[in-house]
Amino acid sequence: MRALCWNGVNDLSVETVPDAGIVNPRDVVLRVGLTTTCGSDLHFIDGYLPGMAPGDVFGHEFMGEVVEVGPEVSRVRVGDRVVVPSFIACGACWYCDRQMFSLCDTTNPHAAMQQPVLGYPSGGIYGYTQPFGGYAGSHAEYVRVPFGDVNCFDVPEGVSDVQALFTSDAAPTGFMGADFCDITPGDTVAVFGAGAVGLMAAASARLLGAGRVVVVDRLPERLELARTRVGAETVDYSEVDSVQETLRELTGGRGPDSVIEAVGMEGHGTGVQQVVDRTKQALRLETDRATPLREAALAVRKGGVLAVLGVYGLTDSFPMGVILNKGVTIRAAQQHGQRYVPRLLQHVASGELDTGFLASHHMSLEDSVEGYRIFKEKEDGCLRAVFTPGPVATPAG
Amino acid sequence: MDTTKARNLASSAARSAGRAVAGAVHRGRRSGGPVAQTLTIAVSVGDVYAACRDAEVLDRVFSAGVEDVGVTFEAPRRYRWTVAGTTVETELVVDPHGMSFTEVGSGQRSTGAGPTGEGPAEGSPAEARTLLSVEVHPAPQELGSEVRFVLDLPVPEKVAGALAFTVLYRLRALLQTGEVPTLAEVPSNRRAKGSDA
Repeated sequence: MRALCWNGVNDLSVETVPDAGIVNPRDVVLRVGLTTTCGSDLHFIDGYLPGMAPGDVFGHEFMGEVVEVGPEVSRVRVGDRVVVPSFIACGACWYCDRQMFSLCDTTNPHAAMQQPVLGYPSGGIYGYTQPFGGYAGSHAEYVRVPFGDVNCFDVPEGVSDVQALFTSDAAPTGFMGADFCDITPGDTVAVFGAGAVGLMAAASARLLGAGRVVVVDRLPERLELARTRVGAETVDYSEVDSVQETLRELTGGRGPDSVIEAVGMEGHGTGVQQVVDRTKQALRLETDRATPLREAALAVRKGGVLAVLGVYGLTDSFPMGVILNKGVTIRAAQQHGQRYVPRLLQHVASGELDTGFLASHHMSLEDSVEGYRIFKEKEDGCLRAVFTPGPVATPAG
Repeated sequence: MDTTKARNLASSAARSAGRAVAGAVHRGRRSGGPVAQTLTIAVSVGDVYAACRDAEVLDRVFSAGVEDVGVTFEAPRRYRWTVAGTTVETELVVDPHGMSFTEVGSGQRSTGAGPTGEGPAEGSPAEARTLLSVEVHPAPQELGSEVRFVLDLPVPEKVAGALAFTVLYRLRALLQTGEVPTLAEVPSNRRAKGSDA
């Protein structure tokens, strides 16, 4: 089958690799319908997140059609149109019982690589480094889905493929961030980052009853989407002297009740600290440029909630004193998709939530190297590049 | 900085980080001697002991781990362990503290080695080795069983700690889900034969 492979830092190629197949009796094999870029992929493409092995097939946000099921799969059927959350859950461990699916205790074949770093390893994930399991990713014609009955969700009539695609990761991640905020009706929620996850966090905050949602970013086309698609107010941090002052002014001096950080380790920003971060990251003296995280911690009101959705490594200069002295609650996780996907599909089906607009660029899998380039460079207003695998390939650029 | 230099620097940093992670895996390993790990598994004490007496279960959780280890049943209470080409005949010893697989050979067997993994008592035959000790206790809050493995396998010291954790992780997965997480036949363009795990 054809698949997008990581060969080294900033070295990707579409290759012919062995087909995905059933390995364990509850596995399912999907013919990938759509698969999309994610900002967190850039961290290992750029070499900031270690653990990829040359040749790895990556990608973790996808939907498709079931083409093969293992002998112990009971619910999922060949021909089902399904969406699959990015983290793999067994549905049987202590964490899955408590709906903390990304913390699954049994699905990471390389758990021993993670244990010394995290203390206790996370669940496995498709196509996202060896320490996160080493599973083959979704930027391919076929993908193996372990525990198919737990991880495949039927896409309802009326929900398009592209709408379903983003209920795999971007939407549940954003929704989880809003859920973390324990929003009460009328609350003000600020969202740092207007990528796909940030936009879904903002839309979810609306769904959960926020009175005002303020999205902070610097890219005009993304801020425009926040206004027109989500109904959020926006702050272009590159156009204001101080994001903190701006948010204080917008909230009568109280500050947002909660702040969702949806940027991650390659954040942009302004000021001296951003210069320091860029220098240290370039010299590999730190893994993260955490300006948005620090700004988010400063921005949230006293006693508020800071929900962290961006992917970080080992962040320097985290303002713990700010958290302590303001009594801020920090909540963070990789997405517990299996908890949210059914609800999100219903929201999409009912028209309460739209996810399809996140797909700014549709391309063949054969063009996915170029797709990642424009996604990384944010060229042509690229929010998400969506790849369609299949026998009909367009010529590579 | 030109692109090539930047790319080389990034590659170097990624490799260094990878080495750091790999190094961290092995920190905490004592120099030589047994390695202990404990995990909680959501099944009964009896189920854990039953699984650990089953050579097929042991073979499944030990094989394709950090270091390939095989276990076969030879006769009642006799198990053959194959570790990196070395074969070790063991006897299953059950006592009030747990169970252990202790090397047998030349008619000598340690009387000091036990499931807690301490070495042979002073004066005992030094060549008798307990490859695996298993100690299981009920976990609090009805969480199942706390399972302590002490491994003393003839594997490179640098992988011993990771092997012990991996084996217990795989046992937990097998007992709780019926499957061991595996990457057999994972697609990639490494063109490697066999498992990529």
